[in-house]
Amino acid sequence: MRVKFWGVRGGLAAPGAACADTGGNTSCIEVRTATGALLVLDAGIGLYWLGRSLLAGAYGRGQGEATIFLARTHWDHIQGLPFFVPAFLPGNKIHIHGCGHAGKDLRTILEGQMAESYSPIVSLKNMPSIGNVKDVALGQTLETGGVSVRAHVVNRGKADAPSVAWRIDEDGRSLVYVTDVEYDKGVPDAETIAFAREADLLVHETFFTDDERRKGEGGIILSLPPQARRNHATFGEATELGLRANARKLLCTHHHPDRDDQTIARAIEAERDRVKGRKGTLSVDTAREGFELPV
Amino acid sequence: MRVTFWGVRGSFPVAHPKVTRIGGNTSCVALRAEGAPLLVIDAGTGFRHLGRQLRESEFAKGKGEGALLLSHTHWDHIQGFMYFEPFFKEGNKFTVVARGDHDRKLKQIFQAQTESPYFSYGLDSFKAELTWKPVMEDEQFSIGPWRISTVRLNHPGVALGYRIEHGGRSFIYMTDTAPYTEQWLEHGFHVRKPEKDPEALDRLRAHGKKLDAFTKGADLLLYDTFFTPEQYGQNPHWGHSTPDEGLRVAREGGVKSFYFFHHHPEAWDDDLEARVKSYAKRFGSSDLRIDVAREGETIEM
Ligand SMILES: [Zn+2]
Ligand SMILES: [Zn+2]
Ligand SMILES: [Zn+2]
Repeated sequence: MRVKFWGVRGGLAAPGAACADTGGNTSCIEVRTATGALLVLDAGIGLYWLGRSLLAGAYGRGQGEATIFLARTHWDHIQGLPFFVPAFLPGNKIHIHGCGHAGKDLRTILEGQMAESYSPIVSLKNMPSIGNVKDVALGQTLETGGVSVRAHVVNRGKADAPSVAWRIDEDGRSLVYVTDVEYDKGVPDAETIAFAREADLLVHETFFTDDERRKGEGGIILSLPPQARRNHATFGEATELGLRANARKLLCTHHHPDRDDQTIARAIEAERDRVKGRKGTLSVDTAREGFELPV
Repeated sequence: MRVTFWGVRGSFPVAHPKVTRIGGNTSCVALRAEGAPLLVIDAGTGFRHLGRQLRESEFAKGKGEGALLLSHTHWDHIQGFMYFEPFFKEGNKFTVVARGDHDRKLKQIFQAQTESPYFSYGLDSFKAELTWKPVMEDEQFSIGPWRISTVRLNHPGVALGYRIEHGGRSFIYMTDTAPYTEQWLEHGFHVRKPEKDPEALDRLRAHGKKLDAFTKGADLLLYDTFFTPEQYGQNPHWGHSTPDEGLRVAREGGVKSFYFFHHHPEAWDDDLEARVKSYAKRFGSSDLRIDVAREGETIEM
């Protein structure tokens, strides 16, 4: 499969030159399977730009199909959906998988996103090419486009909307996507380690630095409420999961909107040193918008 | 008064190398005047950056007072709301103004888009004191020394335009709106369906006519120039306008300067700058200055 990043920010988009090298769009990753099927991880604003790139091909003619897997229904993971042009062109089939919460299924939550108060779309029904909207069946494997897709709920049992980690396996190669996760005491749990085991590519959120976590800081800003300082992992924790799961490559994503290119580069250097110190072979880099790689 | 542009983009924030000069944050404009509370219009992603800049101000000490006027609650106009630092400091006082008939309903709109499953914290995490003030079109009210009046704009879900006066100067904020010519936009989902019924066309014209009095003699009109005339022709039901229509409104009202605003996500810097230049050359004069709202820029009025 091939993987391309369209959005690597978390929380809010980060327009401007300071973040331009890494990219400032909220979460979205394109995955192309060997058979050419299109899988999309998350529907942040990056989805607009992905949609735009598809219009020259089958999707512009209403002959395209795609499946979107949502890590979460927080705004930064769904806000690109009403701007995904292929979903408005009749004939395309755009399926969405994700996790409901507190008695609301995924469709109800996405309907709430389109409500008249917030969007001129008013209802999901006005996006004629939205196909199946499915709540994740945990423990099940979905076979699609020549790959198998599995879901694992992280942040289980918390009051907030659950986050779903996704794993895509294709012919012995694997991609694992973990975001919006908070590890107890900063240590990845056994289940998540097992889920990411031997991943060729681990894409993991790094919203916080380890310093911010140590000082009890973080969140978008220091004065934000305690709730805003949770629910996310650090660069160090991402590396820790990569090492413990014996993954080949780690790409850091879901960067804080205040994290400029230089700070990210320094954080990546520190993680490479950490890997060396542990005599590991995990390769570490940041995900960058527009960056494409084979898995 | 002093006007600062913190976000000038429409629809969604644009993180793209071709918009770094004019800016990619969604709508947010701040108005300041000596001895007057801070006045902010719209809470797009620019609102977060405004909040950070206030770290050096009375808001950091919990002694700030301000008001936030919302054109409407579409996402590009409220997505920075939960990221505004002064909301998290005890002692600060804010009035949130938007179109509506009940303060609880207004608060509910914000409550429902924050918290789980859409967000990780809610309004109850704010420490500042927020007062919700619903207003309708054709109303007049004051926030401290600011004199404010409203007009109904032609936009799905309905938006409000604001005229703000202080110290003999007047500033008009007019986005999001379509021209009052083809379609009447209000509730529900709109498809392209130009109005044919003469009565409906009369109603449209009558509402459009209100803009003349509303903009009369204003010093500055900040206007929804989202579309080129060609794009508008394809999408009269989207609720956005063109520089041509905006300049017509400006001329009718005898407005002194006109600013392009709520830029299309794909209005690249080079193209937009060239377009503004061309409009300024064709339609600008010593009576009507034409310019473009750039993120980070401050205008002394
Ligand atoms: Zn997130
Ligand atoms: Zn707008
Ligand atoms: Zn709008």
